[in-house]
Amino acid sequence: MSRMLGVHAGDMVARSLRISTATHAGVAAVSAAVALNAMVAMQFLQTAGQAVILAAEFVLLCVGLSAISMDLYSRSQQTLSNLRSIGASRGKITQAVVASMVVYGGLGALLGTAAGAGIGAGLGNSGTAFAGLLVQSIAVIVASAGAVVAGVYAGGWASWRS
Amino acid sequence: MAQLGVLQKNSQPQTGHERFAVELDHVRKCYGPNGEVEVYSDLKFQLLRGTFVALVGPIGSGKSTMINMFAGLDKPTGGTITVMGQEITKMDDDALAAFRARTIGLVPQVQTLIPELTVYENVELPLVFTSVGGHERSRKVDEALRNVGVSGEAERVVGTLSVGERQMVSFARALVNDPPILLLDEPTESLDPLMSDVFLGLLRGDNLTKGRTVFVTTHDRRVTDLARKTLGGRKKIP
Repeated sequence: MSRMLGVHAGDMVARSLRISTATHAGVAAVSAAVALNAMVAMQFLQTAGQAVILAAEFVLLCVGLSAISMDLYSRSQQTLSNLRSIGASRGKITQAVVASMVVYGGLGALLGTAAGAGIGAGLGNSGTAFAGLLVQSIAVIVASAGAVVAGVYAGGWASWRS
Repeated sequence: MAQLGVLQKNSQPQTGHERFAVELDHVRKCYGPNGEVEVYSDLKFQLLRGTFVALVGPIGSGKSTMINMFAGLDKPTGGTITVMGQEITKMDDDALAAFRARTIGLVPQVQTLIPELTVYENVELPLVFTSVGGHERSRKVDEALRNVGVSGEAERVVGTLSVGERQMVSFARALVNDPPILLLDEPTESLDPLMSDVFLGLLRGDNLTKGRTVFVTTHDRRVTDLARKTLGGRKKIP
């Protein structure tokens, strides 16, 4: 019963909830914007500052994705009720929403990070070694993806509770 | 305590509570902020497994409430409901959803198909929630669509179907998990005479109803004629 939803099944549930291209684009754009800013800032800060930026990135994205997710659930109350009537658990529905969002959130973060690295270099950050830049990029992408998952789960949790 | 319906001739002899598909014990159901509208005050009955029972009564007399309580979609204000030996009134929402997916095929009065998905996908959805594997899923969906005669519409988006066609798809979806209990809420109400005949033909056919407990609410005399037992409705709730 606790088996994860497959890609096809998750896609069906996501389409049922009207998670559209526009929703995906919104998630990718928010994620890219936050990652870009974080990546630029990271290149001009020491370790402690970088940690603060990563934490801020995580919290902001988490709040943003949670709001998007809550909006999605509130717009789809009737569909959720219909899905529940045929045996959909909250867990399976949330899984489908997370799976649908994390790909686009991750993609946005990837693009934002790449752009941020480029802008940082353009602004005069020539001191960071390639290995350091790589570590910073990975940290930003992981924080973004984690924030997307946590935000969507938090939005789902808050919606189910209400 | 009333025992509704009769055991089918070919069913295995069962004893005790195993004989019952649904048991209601001192069920009370009220609506309104202070529970001022009482739909059922002290309902107590048992529905035998493998029977076809119809409930008739005027609009607003609580027929849909009864179906929704059987399916665990509506909780009683008091009392207990046991379905296929499991007390559903004690289950949390997720346990109820899982139980419903395995046990109950529901054709509600209001269409609950997902208009954005195709006919095939709508019928496939309940199987997704019971984690049926891909190959078995396609076999079951094909069979359900064939059984209700809508195989030809499999790739059509539900939003483009007529009301009657949607009702057939609802029926296929209710049957796809091969549930032991089938709940039909006013199944012919929104159908034209031709579609009604097709639907009644399906209910009459042994392959879809044999061995299942079928509980139907209706105003349609042709549906009650098919039932082994018809329960008289109560008056409209003021």
